Amino acid sequence: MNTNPDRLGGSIAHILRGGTLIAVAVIAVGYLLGLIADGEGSGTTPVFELVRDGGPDGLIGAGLLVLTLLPVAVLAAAAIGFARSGERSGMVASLLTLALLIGSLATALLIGTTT
Amino acid sequence: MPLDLLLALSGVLAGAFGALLGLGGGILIVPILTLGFGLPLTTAVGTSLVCVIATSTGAAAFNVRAGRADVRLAISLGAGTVVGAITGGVIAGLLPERVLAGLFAALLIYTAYTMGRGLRRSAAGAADLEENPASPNGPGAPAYRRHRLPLAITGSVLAGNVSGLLGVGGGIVTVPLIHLVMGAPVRIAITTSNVMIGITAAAGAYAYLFRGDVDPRIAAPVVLGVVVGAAIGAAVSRRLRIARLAGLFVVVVLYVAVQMGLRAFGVA
Repeated sequence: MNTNPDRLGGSIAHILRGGTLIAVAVIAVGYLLGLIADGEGSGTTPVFELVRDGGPDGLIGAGLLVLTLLPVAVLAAAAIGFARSGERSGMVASLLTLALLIGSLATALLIGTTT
Repeated sequence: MPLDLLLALSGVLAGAFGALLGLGGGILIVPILTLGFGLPLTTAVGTSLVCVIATSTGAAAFNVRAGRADVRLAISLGAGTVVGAITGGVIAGLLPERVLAGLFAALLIYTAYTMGRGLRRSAAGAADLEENPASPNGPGAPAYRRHRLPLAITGSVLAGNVSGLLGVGGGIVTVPLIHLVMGAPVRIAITTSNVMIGITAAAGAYAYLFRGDVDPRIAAPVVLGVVVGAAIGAAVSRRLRIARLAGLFVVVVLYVAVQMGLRAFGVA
């Protein structure tokens, strides 16, 4: 049984387009607010601190987080699509890549919060 | 404001270039931010990785919807590149940088030679660089027959390694890999690589973001520019002749090979 490529591609394209638009809109609003405020930026600060502190840089940080989490969402959608259609090899590849990416995310989170 | 404008324009350039050739644009962004704007390398690499994801998502949204990218292949090879990107950091600590640069330069020169030879063949009449309208992968999927998937998965680990070791987008390896090893047309290799590089870059980007190596006021204009550039690149690539795209790719590969060769000999 094969996945309908149109359907799988369509759902992935939907996530990519919607996610990119949301991320770009949030980054753009934060960036414009930062220009209007004309104050000093936060500089190089961990992204969770940026989001927690709010303000223009917090919005930019939130947008960057959304953007970098899009590949995770794409892989999750692909795994679900392959699972629904019974295409085992595609599902295994998606889940394996997703697990690796989540492992990398968790490791970075652990290091980022302990240093 | 002029600084922000320059950053945004750099992003547009890198995004368009990356989307056109299946690269992340990191080859341009890292030198621009370090040499042009005087940023530390870690900040430049962190910003570059976020921009690679932006290039990937911006271009892939167009290409996947239009059925021009092979999503299944991107995900299968993506596992290899993520493993390679993670292990790349470990290997980087074991091998001298000059040895790595030399190996990479040799690989790139071989890639440029093989792709250049393919271009000459296609100019002589063979249509191997064009898409086959009868898709063996089903309706809506890119039309070509995949070859040597296990070898390509092994190669994708190398692509991820290159990305993790040298701070460049894995596209410089994945495009030739998909085209030369798997037999996909250049355009499909580029669009599929565009999907893959976002997955590979994400594996590295989290560390930079969570550690605080990305300056939001620098990243914002570059990312916004990259998204605009990627959309332009994805739209323009459909109108460009495939041989021109491949020729442009060979030039970029040779440029990076020279840079790496100079680094191997301690010149750069």
